[in-house]
Amino acid sequence: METKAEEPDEQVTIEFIDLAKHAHAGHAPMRAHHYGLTIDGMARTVHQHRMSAIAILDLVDKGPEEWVLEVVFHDGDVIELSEDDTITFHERGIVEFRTERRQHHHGHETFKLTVVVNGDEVHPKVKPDMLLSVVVTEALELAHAVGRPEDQWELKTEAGVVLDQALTVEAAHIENCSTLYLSLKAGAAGDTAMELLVDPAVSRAKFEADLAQYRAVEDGMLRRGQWLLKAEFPEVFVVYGALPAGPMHVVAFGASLDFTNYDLWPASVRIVHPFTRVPYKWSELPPAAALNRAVKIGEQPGPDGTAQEVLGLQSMMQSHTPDGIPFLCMRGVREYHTHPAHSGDDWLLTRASGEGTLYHLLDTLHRYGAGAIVGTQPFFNINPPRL
Amino acid sequence: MKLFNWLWRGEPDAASDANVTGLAAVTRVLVPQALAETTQAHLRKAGNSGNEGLVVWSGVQEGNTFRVRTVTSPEQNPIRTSSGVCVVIEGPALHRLNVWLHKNGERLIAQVHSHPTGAFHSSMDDEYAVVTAPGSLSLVVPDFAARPFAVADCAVFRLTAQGRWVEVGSAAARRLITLVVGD
Repeated sequence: METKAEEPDEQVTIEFIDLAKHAHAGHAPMRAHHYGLTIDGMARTVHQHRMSAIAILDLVDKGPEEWVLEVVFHDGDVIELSEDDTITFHERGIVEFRTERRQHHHGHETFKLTVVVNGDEVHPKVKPDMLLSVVVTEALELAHAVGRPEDQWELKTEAGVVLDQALTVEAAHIENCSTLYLSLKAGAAGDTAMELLVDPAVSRAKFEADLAQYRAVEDGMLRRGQWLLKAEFPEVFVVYGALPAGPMHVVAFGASLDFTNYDLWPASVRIVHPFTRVPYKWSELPPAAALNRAVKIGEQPGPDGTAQEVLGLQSMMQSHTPDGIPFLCMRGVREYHTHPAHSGDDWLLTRASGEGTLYHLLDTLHRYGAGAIVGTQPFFNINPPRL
Repeated sequence: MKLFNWLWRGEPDAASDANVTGLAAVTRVLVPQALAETTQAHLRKAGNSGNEGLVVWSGVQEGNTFRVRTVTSPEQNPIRTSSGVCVVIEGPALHRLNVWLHKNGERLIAQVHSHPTGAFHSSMDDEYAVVTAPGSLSLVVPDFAARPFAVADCAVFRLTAQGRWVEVGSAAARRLITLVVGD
């Protein structure tokens, strides 16, 4: 297929340039009467200096509905052309053009996505290469969610997994026709003075100080199976592993900590699934996450007649119902200090002790959790093949 | 506060404007008496422990009328300090509420919380409200909800399209929110 010239050629000095050969030879781009293009390995000759992506696709009998056009430059750049883009052949060294079916190239496909904002369903226009932060902005605008600023919302799956808004839709593995939830990070009401809630900059500084303290000893923590995977104020996510005697390595549980309003408030601590980060219900807690400690429950006479302690196990995790999200019943933990039963144990009187620091909390979770795993009992289900 | 009262008096006319949609168009909120009693019971229970409590009202909108169908008390952490009291609802509880609303076809119309003494909208109430759509309501019940629920007893605020909470005058609030017997 050939096309007609469309503009005067006052500066043209060469009759024909094969763009690929010209670029590979190291020649600078220049005007010609005719250009040789390589499209998916096929040679085509055109008689104009610039063409639209649609026209180039047409040279190989392809349409923009099904196909995406990319241009490969001599300097290694590969640029995807939208159907309205026009490219000039004598401005930058072009090696070839490539086409790709749209179903294999999600970059400009429009997704159907439902985002539920505080109960209200909206349908932002979403493309796979769009950042989730952009999706959040659009969803909040569509929902007219004017009551709270954008940074106070979290994009979550139905299961409550928080999605990283720095990822694209595609990178976050969000499927077409998915439903996501835009939920507030927290709500509050009260007649206490607002000044009591800490300036986030102050909380962040205290958090960073705690984190630096932890980082100083982190190598040792990693060796014992305490893996701090995320520490971005106000959130910390850590996974605990164990290497007990025997053939198995164990990924015991995860923990999610929230340092909002730290250290006016102590950190919130939740035991979570190490992969999905969904908080465990009481009935779902893995054995090591019960955080048992041995406590004296009585005395009995020993062989020599003297009184000896009788020890029992007491879980540091507490919940009022089997379906409740258990909390770590320990000084320095928000859920402990806000529990009505502990109203006499004021956090503000505790915080100077070091209980409640990031190091202390993570160390406690290890000591009574994964660190207490001393062995495993593996069972293998084996299905022997027939002879 | 009188300035806000004056500002709000213009809104019912705006609500009848065809251009006003969503919750901002609501001119009548119908609350079953039983749900008002549930609201008061929750707030009173928290108050008995010296704590504030918070519930949200959700339901369905039919034109300019909103019918409250559900009172929800999200999991909350009451906090008491020497300078006051407040109640905090964490993200997971708000997420569960979000999912529940969607699955049950309801939307939030109001949050209702108690104060130990006077009913007013604190800066915390403004900045950390659970309801976020223009036209949403925030009711503040005084005296830890010691008395049976009555709209006249509450300070009632409404969220503007600009994201500001403005007080609805007492008479306007009583016209806006009606307790009804039955559903």
